[in-house]
Amino acid sequence: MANTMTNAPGEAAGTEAKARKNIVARMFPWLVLLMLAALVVAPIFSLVAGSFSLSRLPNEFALDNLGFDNFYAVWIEQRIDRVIWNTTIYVIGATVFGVTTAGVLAWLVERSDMPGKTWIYAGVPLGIAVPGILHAIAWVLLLSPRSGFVNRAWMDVTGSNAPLFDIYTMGGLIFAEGLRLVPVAFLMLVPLMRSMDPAMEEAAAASGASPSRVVRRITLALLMPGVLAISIFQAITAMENFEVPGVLGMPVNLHVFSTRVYNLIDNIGSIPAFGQANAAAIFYLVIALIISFFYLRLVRSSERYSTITGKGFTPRKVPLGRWRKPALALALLFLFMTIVLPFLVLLYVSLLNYLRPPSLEAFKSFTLQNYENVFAQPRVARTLFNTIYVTLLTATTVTVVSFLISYIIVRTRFAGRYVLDMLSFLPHAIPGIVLGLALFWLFMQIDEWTGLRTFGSIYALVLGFTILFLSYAVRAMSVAMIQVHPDLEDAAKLSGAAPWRIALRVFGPLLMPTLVGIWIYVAMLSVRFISLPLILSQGGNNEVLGVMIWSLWDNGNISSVGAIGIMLMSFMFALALGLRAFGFGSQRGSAL
Amino acid sequence: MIRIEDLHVRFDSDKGTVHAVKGVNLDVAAGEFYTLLGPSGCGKTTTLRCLAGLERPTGGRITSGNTVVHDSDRGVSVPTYKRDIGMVFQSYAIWPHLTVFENVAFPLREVRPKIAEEEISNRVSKALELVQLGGYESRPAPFLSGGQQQRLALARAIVREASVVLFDEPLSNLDAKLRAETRLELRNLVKRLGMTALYVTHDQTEALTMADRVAIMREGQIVQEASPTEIYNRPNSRFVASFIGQCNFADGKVRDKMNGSGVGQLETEWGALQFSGDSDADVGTSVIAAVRPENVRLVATGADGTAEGEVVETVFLGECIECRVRVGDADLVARVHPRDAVDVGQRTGVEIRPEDVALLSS
Ligand SMILES: Nc1ncnc2c1ncn2[C@@H]1O[C@H](COP(=O)(O)OP(=O)(O)O)[C@@H](O)[C@H]1O
Ligand SMILES: [Mg+2]
Repeated sequence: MANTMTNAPGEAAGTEAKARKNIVARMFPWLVLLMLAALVVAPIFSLVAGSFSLSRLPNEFALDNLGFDNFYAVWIEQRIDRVIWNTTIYVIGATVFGVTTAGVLAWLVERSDMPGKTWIYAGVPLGIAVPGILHAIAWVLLLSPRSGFVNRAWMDVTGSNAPLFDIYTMGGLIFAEGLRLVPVAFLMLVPLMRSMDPAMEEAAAASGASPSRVVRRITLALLMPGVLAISIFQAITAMENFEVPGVLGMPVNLHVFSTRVYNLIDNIGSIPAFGQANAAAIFYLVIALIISFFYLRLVRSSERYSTITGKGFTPRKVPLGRWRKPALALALLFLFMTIVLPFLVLLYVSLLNYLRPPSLEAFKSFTLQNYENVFAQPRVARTLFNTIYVTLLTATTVTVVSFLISYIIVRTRFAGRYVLDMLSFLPHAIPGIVLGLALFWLFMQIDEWTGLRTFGSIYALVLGFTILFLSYAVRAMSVAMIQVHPDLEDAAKLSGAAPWRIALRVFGPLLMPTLVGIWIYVAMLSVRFISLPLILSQGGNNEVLGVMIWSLWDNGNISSVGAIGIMLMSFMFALALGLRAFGFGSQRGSAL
Repeated sequence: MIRIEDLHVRFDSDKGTVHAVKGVNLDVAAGEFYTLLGPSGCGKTTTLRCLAGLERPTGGRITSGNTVVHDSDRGVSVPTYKRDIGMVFQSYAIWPHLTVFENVAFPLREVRPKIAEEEISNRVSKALELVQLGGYESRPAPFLSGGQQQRLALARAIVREASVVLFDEPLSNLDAKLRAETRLELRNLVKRLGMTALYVTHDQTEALTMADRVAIMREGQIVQEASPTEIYNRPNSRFVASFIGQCNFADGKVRDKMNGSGVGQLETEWGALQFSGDSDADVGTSVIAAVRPENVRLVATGADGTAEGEVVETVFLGECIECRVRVGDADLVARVHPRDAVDVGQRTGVEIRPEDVALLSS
């Protein structure tokens, strides 16, 4: 009121400019919503449309050549039911193994008096830095039935002609993928355990419950909803994963969803069946969506549990007694297996002139030849440049876009903010290989109509990655933004700061650790993710490191894989340490 | 009923050793409401948790009823779940995954041999009635307000009818008004059930209004133990006097020992002062005279034998007015009825009755 009264007639022009500004301010959230809707809906639409297309190639899509044949073929001829079955075993196995391992580690560092905890706290999350493809390759080098170093050593020592453990099996898949799930599960479980008020257990003891009854009736019951939510989250991750089943399952025709979809369009000796791939991808997507839906429901209902915590408690550590040292040994063994071992194995093969098991002669023959060879190839330099370019661009785009979306969701009364929230979660349910396929169709159509060359361009990758990683970033950003008290913003408003100045001067600095954390994490994801670029890469134009490693491995060029892998891993470790420097992993773990 | 002898607790952490409890002794009679009062960090909770068996003492002996539940020398330690106690936690520790009914039924379900379902249901209903939560049985526990959760925690602590019930600042998370209402209710309930209560708080009003006996703790030790009135009127140290309520202190010397009528003479910073009571301080000893503000009366000047001073500040508190009076070299705060208001700068006489002067050793 006071403002309008002091408005002199001469200020009319200023008011008009203000009104125009107002319209822009009001339109802006709608623009963001539309953009996000386009990003999410357009690929899915083209995926669905493509699944009905009976043409041989995506760019031959025609409205008069549609039908259900693809679904029929996928179900009956390709026996997708078997893939569903395999996927189920693989996902459940890996999740149970991964979450249990993470649970034991989290319990040891949070609730027991195990020594050397700081090492475990710091070490476990570092596993995120080992790209899945290198992790899987390292296990092949160790445990492939005939030539794996471990199996060879076993056969030499025992004289047996059966390997100790064959990694090219469902058991191997579960083992390798389960290990990969541990770091993130650990980061989610630690805050869960930390937020449990030990008085809950003490009250049960004071009520006459024996220790084992306390564990059963209180501890496990209280942790259950959170653990279930984390397990489902991990199950989604395992189901989406392509690298591990791609390296360990595909060569022996042990298919899960992600590899089957890929296999349908890229299989030596058979014609790519694009329509069928889409149909399979739709089964895949629907299952992923259903699981994600349950995940959301669970998270909502488990929030009810997490509201109650005591204040200022220092949980009593459970004394392990004579199990202290063995517990630490177990935890260190895990670190060794997931971080040190893959690195050492790749380092070893990268220094050999030809592949052979470790021996004194092998060590003596170490050479840097492979590294020189790698750098001598122009392809490598270009791929390196592409990777860096894609990574920088993706990380920045995702950070900026997620900031905008979170700001609208958390801080405005924009009518469509719930839709925005939903839409930003949706990509989480889309497996990388499915999005890759969907974008493949979309870009093909766009190129067909416009004559552009979007498919095979580097921006196709940036766009795909942005969609894939957005939901994670929005969630982490929202959590951080909710923690910035609205009063801080209001105080800035009262000091006369314009909205964009508030964003810049209040939110920017306060959220800086989160912004940097998200940036680095997305950068890491972009480097290690290969399913999407595998489909969208077309020649050298947009080949990235992950794809190159994949094709080198496919061609049996193990030394180069080792040399490039070591460089890639070193780079990832540097990023991971950067992430830790911002205290990101342990603080925001629950928002992952 | 409860006896703690020479209790010691040390915590070893990476930041060094904390000697949280240093030789606490206490003896609580059956049916007594006993309160441990002290500033935060003085070791109250630790003492209580030792009694519950949630913390392991480094030394000492604890007896509950006729059983020794802890004896460091003989290596006896009865685990918590075998002790005959109920406990109310500061954070309430209401289990969020259970309903109100199941929360209260929990202790009964742990009893062996098992109690019949019907009896459980009766006893739970009775306990819930007692804390006025009847009708809330099927409610999920997280859907209760703070005050209701507090009462639920209480119901859970009493339902087993253990002989001892322990409270760790159970009212500290309630707002002031609710806290005041709950104090007497809680005391009456415990009395009605005939339970022995050990109550830990840092709130002096709680201690004074609820307890039969109060022990003041400081830095891991009990410094005074007495009934609420005695603690208030006859504190034995400056710490106790100022921790409970407000108090004026003045350095002084005994000039005359108590005569036949039980009154002695002091020379203090406020001038001459008479005291009575059971002090046996010798002539010439240095003491501290302690006087509560409400025991200082402002009277007309010139009366015989009263000190005189100048009012330097007045603060209106609603039900009373606090006046700071400069007497001699020292200030004295008096609390007077608003009707007897005085003005700043005014000269006034100051009267203190001998029985209102407490002598503390300096
Ligand atoms: N588990 C623990 N480890 C280390 N120090 C502790 C622990 N529990 C309590 N303390 C220390 O012991 C002292 C007494 O604590 P406490 O009994 O909780 O005090 P109060 O209940 O009187 O506020 C404090 O200095 C506190 O920091
Ligand atoms: Mg305490």
